[in-house]
Amino acid sequence: MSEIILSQFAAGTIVGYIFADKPSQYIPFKGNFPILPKWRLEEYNENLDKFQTIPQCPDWMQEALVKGERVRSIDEGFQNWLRKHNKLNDFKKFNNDEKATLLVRYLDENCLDLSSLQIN
Amino acid sequence: MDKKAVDIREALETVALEFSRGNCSLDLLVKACESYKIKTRFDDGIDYQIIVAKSCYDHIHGIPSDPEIEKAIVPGTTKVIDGVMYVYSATAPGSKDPYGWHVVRKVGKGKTLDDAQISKKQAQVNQLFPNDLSALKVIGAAGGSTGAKIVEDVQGNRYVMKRGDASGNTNNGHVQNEYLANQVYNMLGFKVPDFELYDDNGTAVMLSRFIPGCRKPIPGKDYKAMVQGFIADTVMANWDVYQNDNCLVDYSGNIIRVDNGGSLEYRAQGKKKTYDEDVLKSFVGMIQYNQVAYSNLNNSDLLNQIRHLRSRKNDVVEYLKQSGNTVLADIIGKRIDNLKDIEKYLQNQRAIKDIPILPRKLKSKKEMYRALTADELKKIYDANPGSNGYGKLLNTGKNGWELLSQVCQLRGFDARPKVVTEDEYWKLVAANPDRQFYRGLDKNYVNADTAVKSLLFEDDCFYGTQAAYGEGIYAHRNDNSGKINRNDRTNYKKESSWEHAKRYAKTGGAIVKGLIEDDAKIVKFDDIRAELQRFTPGAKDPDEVRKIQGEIAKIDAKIANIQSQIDNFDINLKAAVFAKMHFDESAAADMSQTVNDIDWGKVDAFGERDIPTFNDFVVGKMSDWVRAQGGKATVGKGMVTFELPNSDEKCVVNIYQYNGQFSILQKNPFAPAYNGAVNRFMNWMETNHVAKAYEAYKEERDSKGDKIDALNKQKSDAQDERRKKEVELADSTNVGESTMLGAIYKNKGYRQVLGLFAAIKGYDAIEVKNGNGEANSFYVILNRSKLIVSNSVDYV
Repeated sequence: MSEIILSQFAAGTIVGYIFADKPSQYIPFKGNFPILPKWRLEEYNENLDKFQTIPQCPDWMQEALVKGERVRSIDEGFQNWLRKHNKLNDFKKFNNDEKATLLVRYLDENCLDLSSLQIN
Repeated sequence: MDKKAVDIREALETVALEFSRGNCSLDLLVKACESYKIKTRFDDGIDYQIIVAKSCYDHIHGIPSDPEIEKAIVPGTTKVIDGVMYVYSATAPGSKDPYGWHVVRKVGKGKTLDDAQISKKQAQVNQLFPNDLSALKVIGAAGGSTGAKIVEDVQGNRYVMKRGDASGNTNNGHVQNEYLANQVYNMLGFKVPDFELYDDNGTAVMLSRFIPGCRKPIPGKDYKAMVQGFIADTVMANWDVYQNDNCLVDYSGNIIRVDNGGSLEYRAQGKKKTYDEDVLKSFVGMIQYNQVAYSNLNNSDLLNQIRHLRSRKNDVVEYLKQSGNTVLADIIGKRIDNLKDIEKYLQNQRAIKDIPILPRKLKSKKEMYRALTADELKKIYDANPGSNGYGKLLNTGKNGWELLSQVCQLRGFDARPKVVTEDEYWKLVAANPDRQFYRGLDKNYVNADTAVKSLLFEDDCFYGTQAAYGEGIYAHRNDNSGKINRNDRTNYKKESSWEHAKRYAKTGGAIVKGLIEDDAKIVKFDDIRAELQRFTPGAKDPDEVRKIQGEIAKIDAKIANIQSQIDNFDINLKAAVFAKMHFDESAAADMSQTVNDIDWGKVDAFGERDIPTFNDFVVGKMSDWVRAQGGKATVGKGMVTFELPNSDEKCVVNIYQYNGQFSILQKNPFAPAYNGAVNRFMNWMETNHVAKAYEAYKEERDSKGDKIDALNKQKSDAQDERRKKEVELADSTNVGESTMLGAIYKNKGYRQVLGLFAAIKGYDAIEVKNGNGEANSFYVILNRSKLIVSNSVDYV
């Protein structure tokens, strides 16, 4: 059985996306952020100790992991795409027009719509 | 807009109109646009630029404009894409859209896509669907960007209506494509809402039955069932099936693929996409964007799904050919044939024993364990990306955790481990098994062999991207609640520590066996955690700091308690409303499941219909279901009249409707059969009972809003209190996030930082007793050069 192990998934960079007020420095995601408030952090860590698989976690944590994964996969995907096109290091220096063009290109190549940036 | 802004806008539009007539220059238009933005303090930020880029991009690719997006763009806005400048301005009088993009400098680029031909063939309309679309009443919007509506017929049955002319994000080809996708899913045995396609004077219209009481899938509860269609979704290229409420769970727990507009040749918002034979590429993409969902599958599940798809290939291809979609039939046929590429991908494995073991270059002990200077840490910290300390601490790069990786490089902790043969390894274990470990490496991010080679042979050390107990390289210690296991090569696999490593490796992964050197400095998890809690760089009064931290912890517990009350409130309310409405959710689920499990097309050896009898099913089961919901079933001669407690609508089923010549129907010759009378009964139950129960629950919840409001206010007050304490805490220290140690202090609530903290302190590893609640301990390894590993790995 290859069910995902909680600590192999929920203890990495996804934590940053879940508890951040602004999940990405590259993409203006829309939604209620942070996905989880800071007061949930202790309980989140305790659940990493207590549970071994995602299905064992409470619903609020599972929903947060799904949203966090969505944000992470698009954000990390965009960063990898920028890196491939040698634009990652300079991205922050671009103006909004240039940033928007790159983002729309990335979304288009990956068949993602603007609605993908809305995290519900 | 106020009058001044209206006047300025009108002036700009006049200039745009004159530009379109050739009466003024581009420069004047652009200047007027800039002046408008300044005077109205227009927000020209990233959100607006994204809309501009999308609109222009769609124009270039011939996609119809989205009216909402077009309204937001200021005339005179320019955009350069691939060296071509476009300007947004008024179109020629009499044009369909008042504004559009115009090329200023041409490079011969610009292609339009052909619209798909609307199917001329009208599918035989299901008798449960309305004959006349004009009799439908619009109830509301269905959500999404394609302009779908919820409509109701004269009997009160509700549908989701998608029209090819509803918005800029759909078209006739898109609607027809979704109809085809629904047909194919139906044929493959996956649930979609009952649907029909109409031709409304040249506009394609699809109605899908609206299913009441649907909810979003919950990862732990529903994902396993949802991903039983993973291979089908891959073949269908339905990329966002698990997102945006495209998959829902009905009141009986069935997974319903309610929106398949993004399948086959079309994207969710109406644009065409590449749909070719490369099903492996689709599979890899599906995994990348749906890792939580995918994690509910093992290789055996996927191989079974592939077998199922193959068994249905001929029917799917034949159906598509017969309905005039020969090109699509060919592509889908090839995609199913190419599922063999996915099989190969799942089964890929190679051995590494023959890789030569090269000598290592290590730093001296003095260099490895010296105190790192503030300047050295500052140099690493400042060079790392991240807009705040937290962002920098959790930043990952090609070596995993970046800050940790660089601190370990500075110490020489990243040097290669000592690699030995299997025989040498077991001799060392026999001499001292104390620090033996197993590390499970899975294939998800790279294949298992790549991960093994990276750990054993490559100079770059990968420090991982997951860190439940601190950043570092994780391994399972070969112990049992702290007591060392003593094994040899014949019996080590029986230990739970090895089994746990195997679980982490998963099917297709590998397990590396190793030891940590005797002289390695290992700190216990509780000790390093306590050390970090005591760590208060720059604190004026450390005791005061700890007091405030304690107060924050108490407030967190209080908030958690309030949240629990909010969560339970909803559960109890739902139970009370359903009881009042006589709605038994689990009985309704059983009913739906039983109907779905019957093969209505079954015939016996003599070719006679082999379905439950009228007495057993209609008089028996269906009557029981209705009574379970507080209703009545009156049995007459050859018929049963059903009534429900919350509706005046009755449902009558007679023996001829149930078992007559035309009682068993199919959506197409290859689709599963269904019983028309039973379908009608189910629809009646949903409209007159299930839907009403959910509506009553929603109304009750809305009316109890003040109680929820009070709890939310308490929660909000506690959160305000917490924010004030955070400010007090910040004031009590001089530490900001401009240094690495400051960032660690500020973010000590995140367990991930423990690994970095331990590495700065000079520890080689952290030992976590009963990690993840398991019998064995974990090692969080920081100094790879202190490892001794066998070059013989166990493949899973």
